[in-house]
This record gives sequence, C-alpha cells and structure tokens, in this order.
Amino acid sequence: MRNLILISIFLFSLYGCSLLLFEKNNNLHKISIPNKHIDTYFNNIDSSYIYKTEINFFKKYYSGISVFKPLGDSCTQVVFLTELGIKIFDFEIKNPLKFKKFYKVNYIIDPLNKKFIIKKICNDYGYLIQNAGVKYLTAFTNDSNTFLQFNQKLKKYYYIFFQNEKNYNSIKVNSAFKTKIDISFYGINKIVPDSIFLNHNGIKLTYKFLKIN
Amino acid sequence: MTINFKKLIYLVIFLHFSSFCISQNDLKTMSEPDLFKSKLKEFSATTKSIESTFIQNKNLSILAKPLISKGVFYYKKDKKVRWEYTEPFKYLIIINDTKIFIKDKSNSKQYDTQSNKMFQELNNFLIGCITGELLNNNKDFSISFKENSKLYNVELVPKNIKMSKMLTKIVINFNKNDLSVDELKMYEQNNDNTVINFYNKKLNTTVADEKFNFN
Repeated sequence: MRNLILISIFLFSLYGCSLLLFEKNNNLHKISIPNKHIDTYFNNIDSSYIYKTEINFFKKYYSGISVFKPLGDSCTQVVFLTELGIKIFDFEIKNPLKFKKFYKVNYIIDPLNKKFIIKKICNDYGYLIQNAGVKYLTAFTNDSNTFLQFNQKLKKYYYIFFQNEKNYNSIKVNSAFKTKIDISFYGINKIVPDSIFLNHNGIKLTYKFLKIN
Repeated sequence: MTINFKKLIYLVIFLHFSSFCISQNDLKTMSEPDLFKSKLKEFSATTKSIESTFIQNKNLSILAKPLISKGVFYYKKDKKVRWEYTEPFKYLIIINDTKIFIKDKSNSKQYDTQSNKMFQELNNFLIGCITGELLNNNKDFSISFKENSKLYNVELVPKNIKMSKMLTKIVINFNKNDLSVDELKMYEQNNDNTVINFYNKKLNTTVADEKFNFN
C-alpha cells in the first residue's frame, strides 16, 4: 500500500513535470481569454465531407475514400471505401470526450474485424470529429500561437490556433510523458480543411486526408 | 411559341426517362439461358481485347449525390486487366494473371493473389465477369437470368455468408448486340451500391502489352 502511494506520487509528479516541460519547450505562458467551445470542422448535418485517404501502418499501405457524415447529437458516420467502391468499414462515432461507448460498428470487412483494430480506427477518426462541446480548461500563448487545452483522463488535448485565426491548425494529444499524436490541418481558411495529416509518435501509423471536391 | 417549345422539351425529357425505365423494368425471365451462356462462351473465346471508358457511381445512403469516378478499362487475353481511374484522382489497378499491381500518386505495390485470399477472390470475380465464367459458378452463387429487347440481365446472389456480408447481390447487364458488359451493379447490405457503366467499347483492337506492365 505504501509503495502504491509512492508510485502514484511519483507518476503524478512526472506528469506535472512533463506538462511544465511542454509549456517550457513551446515558450508558453497562461492567458485569460473569453470561454469558447471548440468544434470539429465536420459539424454541418446538411453536408457530407469526402476525402481521399492514405493510411500507412508499419509496412502496410491502404488507400481509399473517407466519407464523414454528421448525424447530429455529436455523432458522425464515417465510411471508408476502396477506389473500386468496396466498403471497408462503416462506423458511427460519437464524441469520445463525452461518451464512454463512443462508437458503433455498422460494417467492417472481415480481415479487419478485430476489436483492437476497430478501437484504434475509431479513436483516430474520433480525433477529427470530436465536437469538444467542452470548454477548455486553460489557455496559453506564445509569439505565434494560441493553445487551448482540455483533459480527458490522462490525455491532454491542445488545440492550436495561429494568432488572430479563428480556426485551429493543429491538435496535439499528449500522454503523461510525451506528445502521442500530432494532427495538422491545411487550407483551413475555407469551410473545411483541404488536407489533414495525423501522425502517431511511437508507432508507425499515419493518415493523410486530401479533400475531394 | 415559347410554351410549345417548353412542352417539347418536357416531352423529350419524359420520353427519355420513360425509355430508360422501360429498358430497366421490362425484364422477363430469359427463355433460353443455356443458349445465352453458349453465346457468351463463344464471345469470350473470340474476344482478344476490350477497351472502354467507364463511369462508376457509388451510391451511399448517407450521401445526397453519388460519388462519381471515371476512367479507362482494358482487357487483354489471357487474364490481363487494367482499371485506370482518371477522376476524381489518378488510381491504377493492373491484373496480370495471378499478380495484382496497384498504384496511386503516393505509392505502388504488387500483390500475389495466390498468397492473398481477398485479392484472389477479387481477381476471380473481375475476370469471371468479363469472361462470363462467373455465370457457371453455381457453387458460390444463386444465379437468375432475365432479358428484354436490349440486354441480357444476370443476377448473382452469393451463397457464402462471408461474401454476402460484403455484397448481397451482383447484377450484370450484357449488351444484346455484341454480348459485352454494359453495366455492373454491386449491392451491399442497407442497399448501398456501386454501379459501373461501360461506354465507347472497342473489341479486338490492338492493346499494347505495356499497358499491363507493373511500373
């Protein structure tokens, strides 16, 4: 029991240090700005959003088309197809920040029908469509960016905005010890981004989304 | 005069759609499916190459409009196929016997269908549609044959549960004049479907072997 308490204190201290390190590395200082919600780019239920998608997982490469269809109530249907039109998966993903059971599988092709694969994909697509609906906890700034931060369990999300921009250009998902996921949005001056890059640090898994008009 | 002209346009639109509906709905059970199969076998035996443009419509229940892709299709005897998508982005699939080559802007990769069951099934399916071999596959499909004045219509319903989870029904429309495939429809559960229409078909022209090289 004593050891458990010591380990917890040690981990908690490490977590705090890692956050301080992140703030120091990015030359951040806290600021006070009016509260606001952070919304996904894919939030218009009258629209659907279509992206050419390339996924690199270790030495495997998958390509196809992702369709994002907001269904309302912070739920988005995500369908991934091959270029030949064969459906690979069809999920309904709710805001992972708000719902414990945040995804429903409508269909997944047999070779991929494994719980850990489904969860990984839903998590990753979930980062793009999470409608935070949660007010940020802390705001930081440095010379070029504003960082809005909120937490989910041990994960810390940083939504990063260029100064004077109303749309975020990247999301960082930090664990207790390091940045686990980097998501970059390009062409954000339009209604939705022209392209999105999602990169896992630590495992060789990347997603590239290119908007199809 | 304006009103008459408008009426004329409405009439043309109405006739166009009604002829389309008739061509799809007046299908009757094929009187001699064995005769059709033997004709198709002969077509398959005498066809050395096919070159065609195609338009692929992917209909998803969540989309108001279909996802449209366009490209060029080549077939050359024996078991050589090239699907070259040109819109909305470039994408290439080449099948050369048991090998499959896939290339897009960022990547190219070669697969051996004999070591990948999924690609083996895809390969057999695509080649089987073109050569008509699929129509004799009563082991894997329940097959029904229909026709009208313009086309032969073949409906294949997979018997295999795994396959039926992916595709509930495949419909192939063969042109009655030359027996080439006019349309290929693949239905999924919840009625999402893919429709591929073939246009500007050229049969037995010279198609260079280089079209099927993996590079």
